[in-house]
Amino acid sequence: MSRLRLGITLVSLLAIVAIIAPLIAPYDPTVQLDLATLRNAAPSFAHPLGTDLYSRDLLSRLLYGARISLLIGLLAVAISVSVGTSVGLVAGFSGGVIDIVLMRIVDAGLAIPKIFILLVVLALWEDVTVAVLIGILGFTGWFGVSRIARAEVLSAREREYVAAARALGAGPIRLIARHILPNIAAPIIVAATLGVGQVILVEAGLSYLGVGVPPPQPSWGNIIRDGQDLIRTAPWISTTAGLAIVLTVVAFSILGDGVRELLDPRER
Amino acid sequence: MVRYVMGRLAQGVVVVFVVVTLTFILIHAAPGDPLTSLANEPNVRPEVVEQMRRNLGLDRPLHVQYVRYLGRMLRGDLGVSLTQHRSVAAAIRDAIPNTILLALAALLIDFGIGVSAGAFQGAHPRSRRDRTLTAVTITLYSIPVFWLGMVLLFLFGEQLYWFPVAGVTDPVTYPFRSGLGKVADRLHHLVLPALTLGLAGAGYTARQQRAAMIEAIGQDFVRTARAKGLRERLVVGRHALRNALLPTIALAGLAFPALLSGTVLVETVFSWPGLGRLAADAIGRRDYPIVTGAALVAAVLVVLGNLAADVATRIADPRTKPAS
Amino acid sequence: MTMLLAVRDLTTTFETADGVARAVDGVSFDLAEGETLALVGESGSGKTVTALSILRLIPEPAGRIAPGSRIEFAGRDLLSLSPRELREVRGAEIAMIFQEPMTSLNPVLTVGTQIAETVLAHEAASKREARERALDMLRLVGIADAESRLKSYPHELSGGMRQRVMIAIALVCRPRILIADEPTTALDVTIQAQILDLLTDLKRRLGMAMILITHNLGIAAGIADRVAVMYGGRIVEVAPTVDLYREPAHPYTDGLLRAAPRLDGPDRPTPSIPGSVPPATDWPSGCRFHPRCQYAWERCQSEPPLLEAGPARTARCWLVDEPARRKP
Repeated sequence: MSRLRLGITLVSLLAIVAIIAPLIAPYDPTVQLDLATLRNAAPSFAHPLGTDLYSRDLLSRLLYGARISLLIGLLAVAISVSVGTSVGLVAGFSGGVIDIVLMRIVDAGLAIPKIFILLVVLALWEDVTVAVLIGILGFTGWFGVSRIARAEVLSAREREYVAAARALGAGPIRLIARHILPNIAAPIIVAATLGVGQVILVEAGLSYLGVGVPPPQPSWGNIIRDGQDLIRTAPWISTTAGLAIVLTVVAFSILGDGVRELLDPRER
Repeated sequence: MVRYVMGRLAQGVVVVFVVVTLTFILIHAAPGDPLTSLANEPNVRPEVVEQMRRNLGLDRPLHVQYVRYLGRMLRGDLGVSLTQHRSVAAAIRDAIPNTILLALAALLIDFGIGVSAGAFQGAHPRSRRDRTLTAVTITLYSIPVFWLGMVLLFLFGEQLYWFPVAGVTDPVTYPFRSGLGKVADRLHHLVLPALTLGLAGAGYTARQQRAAMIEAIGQDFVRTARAKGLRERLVVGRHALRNALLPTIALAGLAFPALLSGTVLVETVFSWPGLGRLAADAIGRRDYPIVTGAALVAAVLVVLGNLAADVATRIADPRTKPAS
Repeated sequence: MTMLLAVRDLTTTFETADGVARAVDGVSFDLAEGETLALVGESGSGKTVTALSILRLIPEPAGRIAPGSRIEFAGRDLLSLSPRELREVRGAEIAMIFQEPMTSLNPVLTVGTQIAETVLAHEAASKREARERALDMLRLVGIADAESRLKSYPHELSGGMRQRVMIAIALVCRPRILIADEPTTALDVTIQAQILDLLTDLKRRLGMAMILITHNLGIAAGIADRVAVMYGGRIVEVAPTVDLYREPAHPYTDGLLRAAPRLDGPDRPTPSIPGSVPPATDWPSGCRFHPRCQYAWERCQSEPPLLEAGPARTARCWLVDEPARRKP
């Protein structure tokens, strides 16, 4: 139980920071304050985390970065879970050719390493905005979820109460709503919680490669990319952003584990 | 076993076929065609783009393009790089040994550390050291791999000078080294990138191994082993661990996609001339044939990796052999 | 008669979500050299936990043997042995076989390895010698083609063969006590009889004592010298087998006898005791059987001690005191 509480606390804190970022950030995160005197300034009272190469306030960028990272993580996972669950339900219920085709697509989707899929899509996309990025991450992230959903449908179909409901003439929609969804909710909620952290990692990776959140928007991956060549002279730039990512992903991992413990008593 | 491998291989071929189809669909579903970005460059003349479009067959109907695309893939023709003046296949051929070397070394570190840590944790669940290691493993799999690479590179490369910071060999001394010296130089360059990629994966492996170990220790045969009067070292190390390793070997197959995703970032950090860096560089130059070619080859590697893991599991688990 | 094993006030508790379960609660019994004692009761009565406690195989820390319990084997208290001393007893002096031969054998080790490693753990034998011993044991427990079976894995054997292998593992170091926990429950009826015959035969030939744990009084009747009936974590009746069957002193024993499926009869439903064993977290006050007992009266609100119910027999029931209350 304590792990769940820790996870909820950490994620809530992050969420609050993300929501009130505009209120607590001392500067506009994209404004270049003073290119003449404030480039790569060390932490000071006016700039608690210093400034970057373009004299932007790092603390402000970090706070707004939380906003973007969480937004991308949550929305992309929402898409993945919706698509994945639907595909899994359809495949599990239809069986036959539809099931085979869908599952071969899922096999293929899982066979291409995630970042390679994303690079293929991003290579072909002009002007990637945050919204497009969310869509791309969401629509390439559902393969695993669909397998979970399908497996749950198959095992639920075996169970007696579903057979009984069928015998009583319940249609597939009613069957899904009443008997299947409540059962598949637990594993999918766990996968979704852990998935947010993973999407944040992927987004950071893409931004680091220069194909993620478009500059000058402050994503944590962008901050690390900006700070990479300055690691000798201004190590705080990439260090703070890196730690922010670690903390966030750890928070979602702990929350995911906590939820799993809560929903599945067999886990310890 | 041969029949099993052939069967799995056939499944793998189906997967690769679907991957090829998916990439084709992706390429054509994206707004514009692959040359749009090139056409938007101010110093590229429109006639040139038109000519390239015709050369690439992008003016043909979709189904014709698809059949031709399949045909080319079947022959191993992945197209021509838009920026490198050579075929995609040639570029990938140069890059792939480096990536396989890096991935295998990383896998070794990943499983070496992950299995030891996880097995220890599983043998002492809820102990103080278990809790400490849990904190470490959660952190490891929450670290952005490129950032971990940057930190290790900074510490061990640029501050301590223990390891080189880039490339697979020393550009100055390598040609003059003896055979063994060449191997040593390569290994020296391999350490940091492999450690980065391996550590990032070890967190997940350790968690899986811990769970498998706890499960195995709860089994009846472990109680039998204790009832026999075996030393705890044998009970845990022989009876529990051997069983707990089976799911981990199977997991190695599932680890390949993440591992190859990681190579894109780690190879970029360490300027390691492999498949991942090839793709990452190509995307900066909008060289889409390279990117799709690399993705296809990465998928083939994943399929082969899964097959290897399946075969290894079958060899390791006597229950999968037919009764004698 | 010298007592090989003396269990005194054994209490084993488990931490559960519903509170502390007193699975075994103040159990005492003796086992003589060469004797076969059957521990009988429904599931949940505490017989398996009693057996596991003797070899200290209770999974800690959830399970715990309470201080004050004593288990004396050949004059030594097993509960105060160091881990090393305990190892020397397990498998060599006291061995155990389990209910599920399928899951009790390690699926990834060969039969030969699993027998030989017991020898190697206890004796200064070479690997070759250990293998020879394993081979002898396989022959002894009646496995045909023993030579090639050494290299078999458990999944390649039938259920009965697996249990024979379990017996070979248990007996390879010639223990003085064999604890057999429901050794035939998971097997077909015909195989059951074969395994029981094998156990009786080996017991006689090797001259060891045996604790047979079973829920089936019919099986106990076939091989036990004495029977101890357990209910609610306590022993409720102990008697020589013949006496117990002729005239059960405790109503619970009576109920078990009526419910016992006959080993030689067809598998037909038998009248069972109404109700079920209460959870170990919540034993009834007074006599633990009284909520299910047809004779229960006010006196049963307080728990009877083990009362003398005849020569060499005791029962934990007030009926021993007031036989008139037992209606015909």
